[in-house]
Amino acid sequence: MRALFLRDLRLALRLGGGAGLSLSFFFIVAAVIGFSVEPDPKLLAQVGPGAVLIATALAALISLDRLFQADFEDGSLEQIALGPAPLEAAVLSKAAAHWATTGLPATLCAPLLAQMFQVPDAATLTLTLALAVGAPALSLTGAVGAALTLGVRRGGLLLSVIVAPMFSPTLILGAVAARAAALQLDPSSALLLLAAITIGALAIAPFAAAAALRINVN
Amino acid sequence: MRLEVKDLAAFRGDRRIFAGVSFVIEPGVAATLRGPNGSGKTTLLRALAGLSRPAAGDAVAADASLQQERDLYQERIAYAGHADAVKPAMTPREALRFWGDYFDTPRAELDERVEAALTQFELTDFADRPAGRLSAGQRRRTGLARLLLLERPIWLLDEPFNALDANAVDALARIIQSHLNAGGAALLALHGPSPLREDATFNMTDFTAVAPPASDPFLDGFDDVFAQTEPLP
Repeated sequence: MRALFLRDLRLALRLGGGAGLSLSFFFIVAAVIGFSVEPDPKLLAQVGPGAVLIATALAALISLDRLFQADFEDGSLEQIALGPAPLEAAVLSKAAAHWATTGLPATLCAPLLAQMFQVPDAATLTLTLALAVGAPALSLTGAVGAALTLGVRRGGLLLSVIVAPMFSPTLILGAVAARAAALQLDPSSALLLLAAITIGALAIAPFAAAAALRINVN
Repeated sequence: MRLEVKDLAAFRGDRRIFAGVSFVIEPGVAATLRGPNGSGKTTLLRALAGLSRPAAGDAVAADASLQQERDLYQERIAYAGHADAVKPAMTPREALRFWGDYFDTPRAELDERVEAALTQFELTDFADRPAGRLSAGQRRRTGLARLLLLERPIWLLDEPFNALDANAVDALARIIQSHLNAGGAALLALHGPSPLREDATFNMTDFTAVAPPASDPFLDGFDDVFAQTEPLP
């Protein structure tokens, strides 16, 4: 599975691979949200965590439609399905590579963006922690959507419609955690729920996505 | 290794593609699969590769059954389809190293086997050029070179000579022949003439002709309903 993870990582980091594009998109979305609200420091500090969360979700979303589609089109997915490893493990490696090239860079850059919005330090720290815990769930649930819409014409649109609702618990809890920290309350319950969602996704998503892939590769 | 196909059938939706497909390919034999477009050659190869579950029947590689011991069966099969499974951003050497690694080639042998495969398919001159900048034939050869890495006894090849020039056709024929000489077997879906000795030829139209009528467990349930309706005057 290491082989597939490393291949996807290398492909994403290459020219036109999508990792750079995804990170730029992350910054642009957050900046646009910043520009489109009133330039009041207090308001920006309130909007900031939400903007970072939305930017992370959208950055994950734009590269999801290629997650299996590219391999499907060039025949790699057939060979991946024929390989000695179970398809579930292949899904997990691909979702991990997707997270490593979208969710992880967004998590690492989140403090920078939060500072841009003048989010208080405690809330910035909590927001970053929330992304570290919650962002893997975006790639995992996203993989299910990507597998379901495989081979569908203009599947990217359908994919967004399917996946966006699945992203919402992670976004809601991330915002709850950041708000709690900004109000100097304990954000740990929201963070634990975020972790629970990620762990739940880790347990279910590979099987659900693999089942969808089996139908679509057939 | 011997491949035995027993009464295999496949459907797409409720349309029967083929049924009653039975044949045996002995070790050392390259069998040719022929039939007009849309007669189900690709569907049959994909079913035999284990990519789709056949509606009925079974295939046995040596003693491993597709229906019962899928993993063991699949370990004996190598499949090369229409698509080459080569990423435009990866070079042939990288692609082969990846597939070798993915298919659990021992790490100590990986480099050696990749270089051997590159040499046999005459890919060494452009082994480090991204596949997106290679010709269709060069990409095809890269995809086929995967067969040599996997060291599997039964090869299922879907139109393997497509896009290849005369030289490459000869090279591939030689490679298939040496695979057969080593006790391997191959099933090739072909349109044109085969550069190999055609030891056995199966025609898809023969299978579809002798097929039993399609039975649909869902629609069969309606037979009673239909039986009760009055025939039109």
